[in-house]
Amino acid sequence: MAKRMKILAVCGMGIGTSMLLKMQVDKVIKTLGLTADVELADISTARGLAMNADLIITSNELADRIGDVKAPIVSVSNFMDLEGITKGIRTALNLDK
Amino acid sequence: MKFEELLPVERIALNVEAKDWQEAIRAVGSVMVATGVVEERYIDGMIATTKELGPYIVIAPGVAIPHSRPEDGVISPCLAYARLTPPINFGNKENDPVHILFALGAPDHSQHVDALKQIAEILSDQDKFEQLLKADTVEAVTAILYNSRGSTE
Repeated sequence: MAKRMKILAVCGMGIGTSMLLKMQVDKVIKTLGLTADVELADISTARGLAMNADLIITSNELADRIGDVKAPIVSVSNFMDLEGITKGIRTALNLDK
Repeated sequence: MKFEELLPVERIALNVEAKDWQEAIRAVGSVMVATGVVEERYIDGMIATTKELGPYIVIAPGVAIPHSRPEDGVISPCLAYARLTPPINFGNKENDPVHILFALGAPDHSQHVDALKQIAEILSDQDKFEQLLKADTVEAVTAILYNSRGSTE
């Protein structure tokens, strides 16, 4: 089993949109057979918290605002598109190699 | 909290005509104010955060979830629903135009989680979502919204 990852779900205020993202990411990591803690962050604290994250997931409208972080960023436009989110996470984590 | 309590029929607005996204948020926000669940300034909060952060609240094609911070005047946890006719562009390239608003008021980070789960469940079910887009009576909307249950994992 791979190590437990830390995923950061980022939205404007860390309340609504990131919570929805977390729900979807929780489903995706389950189907991918990964273990991860998905934490919520708002855009103003995201950069600091990103230091310890393995992956960042956010709305494509916010992705540019996170700035320069070392963790890969997956940006989502349709939060209901589990297939697209899965694809994004697989690519970001190099699972398809 | 039950979904029916978060989103009672008094907070379902249909045939909302707005000239732009700000007016649309104002319309759904005023329903929240009228039912005493948020203060007037919460409406400005929702507009200001959308201006500041961009139209990221449009979370899926046709659907936006306007909301602001708990300290911007949330009185009790709540949802309000508005169906925009005609649909309005929010400036989100992939997901415009917006047909449906689920405005959210959360006094903290936990009490609205079940409601969000339920919204996610409805929106990810293509049939239900299509029904919701067409639902133009309160009865039709509640039949769809109240009969779904958040995923139980």
